[in-house]
Amino acid sequence: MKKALRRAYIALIMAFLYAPIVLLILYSFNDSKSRAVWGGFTLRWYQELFSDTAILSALGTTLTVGLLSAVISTVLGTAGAIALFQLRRRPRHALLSVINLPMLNSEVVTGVSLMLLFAMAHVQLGYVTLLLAHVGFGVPYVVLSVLPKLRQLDPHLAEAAQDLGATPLQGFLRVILPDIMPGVFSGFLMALTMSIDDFVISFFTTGSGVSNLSITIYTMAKRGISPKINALSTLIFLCVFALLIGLNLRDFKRGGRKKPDEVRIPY
Amino acid sequence: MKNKALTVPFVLWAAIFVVVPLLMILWYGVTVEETIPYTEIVLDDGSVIYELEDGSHTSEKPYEKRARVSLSNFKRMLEPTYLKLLLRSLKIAVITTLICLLLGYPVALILTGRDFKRPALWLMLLILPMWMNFLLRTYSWLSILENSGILNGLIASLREAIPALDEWLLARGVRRRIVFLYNENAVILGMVYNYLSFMIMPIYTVIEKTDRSLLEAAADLGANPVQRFLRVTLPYSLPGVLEGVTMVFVPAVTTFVISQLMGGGKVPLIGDIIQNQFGKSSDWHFGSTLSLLVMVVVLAFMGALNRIDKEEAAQKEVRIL
Repeated sequence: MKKALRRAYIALIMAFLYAPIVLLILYSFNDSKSRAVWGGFTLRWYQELFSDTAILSALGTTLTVGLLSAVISTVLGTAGAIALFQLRRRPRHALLSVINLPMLNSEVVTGVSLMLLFAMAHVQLGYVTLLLAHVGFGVPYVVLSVLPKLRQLDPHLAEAAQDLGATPLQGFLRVILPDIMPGVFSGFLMALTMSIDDFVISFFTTGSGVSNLSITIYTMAKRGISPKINALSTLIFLCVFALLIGLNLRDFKRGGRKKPDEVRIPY
Repeated sequence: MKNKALTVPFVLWAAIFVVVPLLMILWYGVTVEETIPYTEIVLDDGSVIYELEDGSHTSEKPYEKRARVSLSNFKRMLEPTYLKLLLRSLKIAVITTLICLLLGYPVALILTGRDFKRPALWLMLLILPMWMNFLLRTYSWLSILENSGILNGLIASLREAIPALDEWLLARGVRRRIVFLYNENAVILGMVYNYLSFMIMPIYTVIEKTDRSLLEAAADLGANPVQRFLRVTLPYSLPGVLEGVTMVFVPAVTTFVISQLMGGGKVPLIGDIIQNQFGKSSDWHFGSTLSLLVMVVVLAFMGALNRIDKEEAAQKEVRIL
C-alpha cells in the first residue's frame, strides 16, 4: 500500500511535468490555428515549417550560436581551468570567485551588464554580440567541470611525458587531455545546453533583426504561437529523447543503481 | 604543463566579461544623465553664444549629454511603488521555493529508495522536459488554464454530469468559468513548474551519496523510520536542500518572462521593471540601480544560506561524536 502511494506520487509529479508537453505535441498535429478547437489530425504544420524562413533562420541562429559558443567556451574554459590549476592558492581563489560571479548573479543582471558593456564599446548589437555573450556565460561551466578532473590527475604524469621526450604540447595532447576529456565533454554539453535554452541574456544582447528560437517564441507569444513552432519543438524533443535513451540504454538494461554524475544527462 | 601564457587570455576573459560589465552597472547605477546646463547670451550683433557652467563660452549650442554622479535613483528606488514590487517578488519567490521544496523533497527521497529499479531512467525523465523551450512549456499552460481552456472544459463537463455538484458549487459562489490565469497564483504555478527539477536534482544527489550504513546503524540502535529520517537523512541532505533553494530562489526572484506570460502583465515583478528600463522606458541608469538592488538581495540571501550550512556542518560533527 505504501509503495503504491509512493509510486502514485511520482506518477502525479510526472503528469504535472509532462501535461503541457503532451498538449504541445498534440497541438502540432491539430488541423486548426486555434488552441481551443481540435480540427482533426494533420501534418501540414510540419510541411509548412520547412518553408518558413523566419523560423528556420531562428533555428539556424540558435544552433550556430550554440555550437560556436560551446566550442569557444570549451577551448577558453579548458585553458582557463589549467591556468587556474597552476596558480598559487591566493590568486586562484580570487579568480575562482570572479568566475563564480556570473553563476551566482541572476540572468537579468548578467544580460543587462553585457548590454552595457557592448554599448560602451560601441558594438552594434547583433549576431556577434549574441555569440560573445553566450561565450561569456559558457566559460564558467566548462571551467567548473574541468577543474575537478585536473585535481584527480597524477601530477607526475606530465613530467613523465616530458622526461620521455614529449614537448609540452604533445604532453598535453597525449597525456593530460585524454584524462580530463570527460570533464571537457560535460562542460561542452553544459555550455551548449545553456546556450540553446537561453532567453534572458540573448534578449538583452541581440539586435538588428537577429533572433534565436527563444526570442522568436517570446515575440510570438504576444499574438499567439504558430503551431509550426510546436511542430519544430516536437521534432527537437524527440531527437533529444532518442539521443538520451541511446546514450543511457546500456545502463538502463543493467538496471544498476548509478550515481547521478555517472548518468549521461546534459542538464 | 607549467605555462603562464594560458593565464593571460583567461584573466582577460574574466576582466572583460565579468568584472567590467559589473562595474558598468555600478557606474550607471550611481549616475544620472543630464544635458550640460548653459545660458544663452545674445550679443550686440545679434549672434548667439552659450555660456557654460565653468564660465567658458562656445558659439555652438551644447547638446551632449553627460553622466553626473547622483544618488537620486536610489531615492526613487525607495518609493513605495518599487518597494511594493520588490516585496511582491520576494513573497512569490519564497512561496515558490517552499512549494518546490515540499513537492521535490519527497520525489528525491522516493527515487533514492528501493521502489524504483531504474532511478537513472526516472531522473532522466525529470530533466527531459527542460529540453523543450521553457517559454513554450509555460505558454502551453495557458491553453490548460485559460477561461475557455481544458481545465475549465473538464470542470464544466463534470458539473453537467453531476448536477448535485454543480448546485453545491454554485451555492458556494464558484462560477461556471473559473479564472485561473493572470494572478499571483498563476505566476507561482508557472515558476514551480519551471524550477521544480532544479530542486529535485541536488537533493537527489546528496541523499544518494549519503552512506547507507548510517541508516542501518540508526535502525540497529532502535530508531524508527521517522527518527531515522529526522536524525540522519534530513540533516545529511541539508547541503542539497540549500543548493536547491538557491537554484530556485535566484531565478524566481528575478524572472520577467513567467510573470508576463502567466500574469498577463497584471503581476509585474522587479525583473519586469528592470527589463522595462532597458526597453520601452529606456532609463538605463535607473535600470542599473534596480539591478544593483537585485544583486544585493541575492547576495544577502546566499550569505544567509551559507551561514546555515556552516552551523549545520558544525552540529553534524557533534552528532557523530
